[in-house]
Amino acid sequence: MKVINNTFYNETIYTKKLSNGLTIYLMPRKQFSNFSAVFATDYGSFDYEFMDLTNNTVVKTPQGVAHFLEHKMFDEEDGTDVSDKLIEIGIDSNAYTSYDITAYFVSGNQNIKQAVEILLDFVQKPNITDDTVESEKEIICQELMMYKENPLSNSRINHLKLLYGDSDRVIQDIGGTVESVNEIDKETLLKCYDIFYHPSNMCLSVVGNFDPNEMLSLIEENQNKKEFKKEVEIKHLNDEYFEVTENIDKEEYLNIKTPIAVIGFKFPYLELDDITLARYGYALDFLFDAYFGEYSNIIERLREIKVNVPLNYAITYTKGYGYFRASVTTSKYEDVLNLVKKILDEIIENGISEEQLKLMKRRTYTAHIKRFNNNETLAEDLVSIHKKKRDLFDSIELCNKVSINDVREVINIIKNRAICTYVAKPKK
Amino acid sequence: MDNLEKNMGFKHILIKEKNQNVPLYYCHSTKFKTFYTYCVFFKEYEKISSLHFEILGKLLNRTTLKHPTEQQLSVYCANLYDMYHYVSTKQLPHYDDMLFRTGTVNKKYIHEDIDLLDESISLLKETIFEPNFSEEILEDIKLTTINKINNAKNNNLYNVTKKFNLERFSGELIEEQMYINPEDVEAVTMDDIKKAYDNLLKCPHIYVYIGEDSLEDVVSSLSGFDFPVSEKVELKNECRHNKILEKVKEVHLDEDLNQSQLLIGLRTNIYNRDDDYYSMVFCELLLGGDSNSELFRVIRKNNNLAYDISFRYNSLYGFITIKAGVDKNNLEKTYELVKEVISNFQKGNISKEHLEIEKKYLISNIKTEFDDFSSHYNLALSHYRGDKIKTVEEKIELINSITVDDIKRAANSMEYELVYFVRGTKDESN
Repeated sequence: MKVINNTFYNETIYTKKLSNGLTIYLMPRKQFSNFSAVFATDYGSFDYEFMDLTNNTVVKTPQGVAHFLEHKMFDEEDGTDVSDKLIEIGIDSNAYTSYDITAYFVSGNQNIKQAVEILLDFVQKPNITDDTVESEKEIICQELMMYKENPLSNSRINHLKLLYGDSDRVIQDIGGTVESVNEIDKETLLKCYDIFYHPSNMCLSVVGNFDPNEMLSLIEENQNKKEFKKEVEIKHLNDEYFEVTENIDKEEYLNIKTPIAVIGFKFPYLELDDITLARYGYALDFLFDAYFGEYSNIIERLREIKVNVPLNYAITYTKGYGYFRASVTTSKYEDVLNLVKKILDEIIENGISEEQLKLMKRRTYTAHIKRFNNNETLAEDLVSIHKKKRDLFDSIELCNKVSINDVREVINIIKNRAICTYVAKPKK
Repeated sequence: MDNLEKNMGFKHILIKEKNQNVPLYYCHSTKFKTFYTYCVFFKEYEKISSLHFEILGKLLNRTTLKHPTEQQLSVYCANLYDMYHYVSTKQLPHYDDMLFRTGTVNKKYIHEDIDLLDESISLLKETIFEPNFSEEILEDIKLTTINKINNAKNNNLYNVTKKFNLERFSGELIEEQMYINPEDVEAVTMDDIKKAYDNLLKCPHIYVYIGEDSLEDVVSSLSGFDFPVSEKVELKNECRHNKILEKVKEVHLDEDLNQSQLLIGLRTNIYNRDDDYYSMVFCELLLGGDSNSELFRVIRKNNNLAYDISFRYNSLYGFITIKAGVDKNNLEKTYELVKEVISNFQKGNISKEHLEIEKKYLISNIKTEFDDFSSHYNLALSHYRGDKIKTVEEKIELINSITVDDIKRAANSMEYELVYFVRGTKDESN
């Protein structure tokens, strides 16, 4: 077991890759009463199409299979729900599916060994029948409908469609569509399960009050008892990148009271190693934060144009896709759109100073430190950092290494981008 | 050692200000990598003066005389390792509180020689004693508040829920506390805010500190603040309704929604300081707390009617809200099943096994509550309010003593008040 001991943060992480390929991270923290464990697979909503490298074929599945599997993994053989079993021993459980990951959580303050075993067992033993698949479809469709009521998030998706087109993975709902969910069957679910839930594609983190050696033995014993199908090597696919070459403006009339405007552009696709990708990610965050974030003068500038609502902005920069987006709900949206365009020009023209960079780094450093206050957050971080092939402490240090040159490099990358705007107006 | 000290070693001492002694709740904790200092003021609730109090809080949160723009204050905080600076207000049934909170990483996690405790208390002092009464910022806050109210109307689910709440709570205290009237916001003047500020300084207040700094350092930093002598405020945090419920009102509506909604309102006469409080908490847990609950089991697992069904008990005002997003053809069926589940509870058909499971679950939550900053702060507030502080062991004993009969009694306190069957006109299911 590899021990990563950081005396400055006074934290130790134990890590090991088991013989079946499963990577585990153990972070004992005896000062806490609780613990959290996350068991995650490198499989998310983007993977409805992937390359099977054993025969170099593209496998296509309906959208929403990863999310559907997440729902079904809680089913026990006797028809009960495993979360009931966990509640019986005082343990909370949950799960989520994102674009690139499906994660299962357990947390509590007692019966940690039993909880971790149950977590490993239910995620590694699917109980899927034709009947339960059919009944789950109705529930998932109700879940999909639930997310449709928010006009602001609908407007943001409509804006993404301008950047990525109607069919790109980025604009698809993680749960799929009513149509795609209805296409899913038991065979598809089990096929994807066998490929993506192989231990070599998974990671387990446990953070909290426990002994690392005892925990490792328990996990190893649990894994040694199980047999797994042969690992299928796959490649995650991205949609073909297309350049948005001209500015696009779109308007729609919706049943709303106040207009909603969204403006943004997408970052070009670059083949980058993980470290450069992370460094550029920080540099972009710092750059846009300096102009649109809490430490900018954005509130004052909005006030100058008599706009008294917040301008929400987001930067997404990850493997395969990335964009800047700002959104606002106001009847003076035209003035806000002009202001955002002006600020984007200023970003390219002026960048940020060394002093601003130092400020942003301090802020990010504090944000990292605050994450140590919560075991669930740390357990989740360990899993997400595993995917990025770094350790937790390297990740904090990486932020401190971002230089003004990195910021200049990202400015070069994002200049001359075509800007898309989407405006939802109230129906007359 | 009193029960407060038994909970995380909290020390309750008085610290000397210029004109009075004020409580400090100090908790030495090495668990977290950050520290926080809180100063909380308490004021009696009154509709308009409480609105002024709320807007004053927003004004104090934005800037100070020394840092007169939002950007200047933010940059100042960022340089101090993103020093947390937050002023917030909360309306409770009979009083409001205004919380000033500052703090950042513990000294040992920085590579510089900065006394972050000292900086945090200085910032706290600056925020309280050096207000920037800027007309421009006040106008911005008023317009931002009004725009937030108006922009929420873009969401039809919000509009339906608001309609439901306004009908249900018409003429009650909670109605005015739940939804601010934009005209009242518009009418606020700088004189109102200055008056609210003068009153704030006279409000009783307490300090809370959670972190690694020594008690001596914290006391020395906080001592000597120059507040006028505080006036007394009764901190009563429940509002008993006196509504007579004769017949449940059922309303059928067509709304511009993608998903149809069932909203059910109930009342109870059990409040947070009552003996039956934990019995009612168990009603909430057993009926709608988690995936093991009766409503979730019947509505989702057995009948596939909804992705989720929520059951929320508000112990301050004594009401319950049940919500589910369902297919438009299943609204009535879902309501009938909800009634059946609750009626079974009222007859005492409650699984002892299920109760024992929920007891374990609740006890587990109680044992871990101090892994979170907010629980420390709430404990100090509870003590100041005069609530009886229980140790973890006492709470566990109380939970273990709850019986099926206690829960049946609590369940029988629930009375139906209002039901909304909202058909989504964009609901394309079936």
